[in-house]
Amino acid sequence: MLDAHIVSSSRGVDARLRVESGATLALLGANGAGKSTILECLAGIVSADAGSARLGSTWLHQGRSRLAPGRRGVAILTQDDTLFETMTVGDNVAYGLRSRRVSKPRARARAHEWLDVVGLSGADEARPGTLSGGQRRRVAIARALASEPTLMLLDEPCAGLDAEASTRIRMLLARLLVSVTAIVATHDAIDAHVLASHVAVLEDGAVTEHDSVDAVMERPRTAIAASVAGLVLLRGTRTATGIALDGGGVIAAESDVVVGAPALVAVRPADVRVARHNDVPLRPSARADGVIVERVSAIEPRGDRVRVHGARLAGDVDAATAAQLRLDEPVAFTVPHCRAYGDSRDSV
Amino acid sequence: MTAPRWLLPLAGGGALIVLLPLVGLASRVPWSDWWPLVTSEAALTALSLSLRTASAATALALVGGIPIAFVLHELPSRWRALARAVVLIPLVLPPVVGGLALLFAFGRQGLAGDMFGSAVAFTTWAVVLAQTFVALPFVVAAIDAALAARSGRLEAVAATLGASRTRVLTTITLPALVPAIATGAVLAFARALGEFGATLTFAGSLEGVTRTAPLLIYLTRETDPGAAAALSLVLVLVAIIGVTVAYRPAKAVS
Repeated sequence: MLDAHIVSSSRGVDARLRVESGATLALLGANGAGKSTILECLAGIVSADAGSARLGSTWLHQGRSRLAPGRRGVAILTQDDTLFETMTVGDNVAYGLRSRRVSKPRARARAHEWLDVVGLSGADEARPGTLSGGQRRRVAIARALASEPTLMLLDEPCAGLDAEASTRIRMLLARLLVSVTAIVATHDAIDAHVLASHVAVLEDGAVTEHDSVDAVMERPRTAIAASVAGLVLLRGTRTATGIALDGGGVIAAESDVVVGAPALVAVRPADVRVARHNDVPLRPSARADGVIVERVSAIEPRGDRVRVHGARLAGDVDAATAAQLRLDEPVAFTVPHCRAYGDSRDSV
Repeated sequence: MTAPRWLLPLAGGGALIVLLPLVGLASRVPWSDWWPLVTSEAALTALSLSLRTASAATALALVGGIPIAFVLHELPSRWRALARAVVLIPLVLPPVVGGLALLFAFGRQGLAGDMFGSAVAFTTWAVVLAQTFVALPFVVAAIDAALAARSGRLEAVAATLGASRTRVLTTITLPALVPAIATGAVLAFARALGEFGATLTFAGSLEGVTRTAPLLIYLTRETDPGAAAALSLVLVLVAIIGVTVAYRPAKAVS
């Protein structure tokens, strides 16, 4: 089990993380949120200023005292493929074992097995320079896992590859990480769904949500988690009739939230109806009819549908409807009946 | 070619400054006597001494220069610039001044004279020392530049895999530095081979002991300009071959 509090004031990070043994945590955040910094602190590549991190019974760092990177049992798959270009693929994979004085034949045999596992059978003698991006990523994965880490860190493991290679790497990792304690830094919801059981959402160096994947993806409490999950997050207050949204409008929603308490609603833009304001009869706004009038702030083509963004809401329309809409024009978003949930953050 | 055309005449002018003297040198070589001249006993003695001392100096420059480059790289940045300037001084120092400085340090009456004086001054070791003095900065500069171009990511990853610092150095960093080391070694060797001023000042000009090829060339230039030109051509050829084979300008590396 990993229990970490990472503080790096120079990089603006102050984050608490927890990963159960054998579980995988997705560290979700935008570029620059501090994902890489957290992984590099845990690996010992960069130094945390304060805080502490304990992996099982081993202290990785405690305040300013730090364990050497090689003695942590923490392997990292960096975002750039840092293969050792001067060595063969086999020697790359055997590097961790050779560093721990495993004999050359034994280390090579293990490397050979690992190359089989990642789908690169017989590539032992190849040079990294001759491999494709996806193959290089596989070598890096084999090299990290061959060192038999207690904790595996993966920085955007499926990014920077073409779509097919990316999917195949994700499937490979889903298989390999089953019983490995791991953290996967990503900005892609698919990585979280496929690879992780839990999610920590990172914003400006701090963890703002820390819960199971299902909880975060279905009931996000932060805009970034909602956006990664493809949802629009609405904030408001529970009333007798529904949820009175911050900024006006009332929508109907079931919920366990007590009347008067803050409530959240996550809406799928595909479920939101959008109509030109003139086409919708005006109704008293206090009724929980789910109609919210907002000005169009952006019109985003998404294949066969077009997403219309307002200040808070977004909804999908077909191309013909979208062609009639102009920026700044008021439109009526109709939010379907949905389920609201509380804003508590007691899940960390 | 992407460079503007007006660079061409300037490049031509610059090249003339280098090429004309070489053509001038070649024009004075007595081609029919070239082989006998460069294989005369005096010439062979000097050439052999030059090759041996320059090789030894290159080896010493590598053994000392590579660690210096690593230490420079580890220094805090405000000290690094100063330390780099000190190490690179022999590059900009007139060789005679270098020879004088060596004399005051390692000569019989020098600072370390009690320790080295009788053993070093006016021996072949003095030649090697003078050549190392002027050649060392080339090794340091080449490796310093190559280290600065490295991000250190590979070393960091190697460390996470359990490699000790020594293992990281020998398996990751040094293999990646091979081109830079070769470049530094070639430049150091070429500089050592051509060393004149510091050698003459510090080691003197004893035939077979300290009289290297450049010293012999200088000595014979008035009595036998043809022989001097013939021997000079040998040094030019050695330099061209060495630089062509092993000199690779620093490029962006990971």
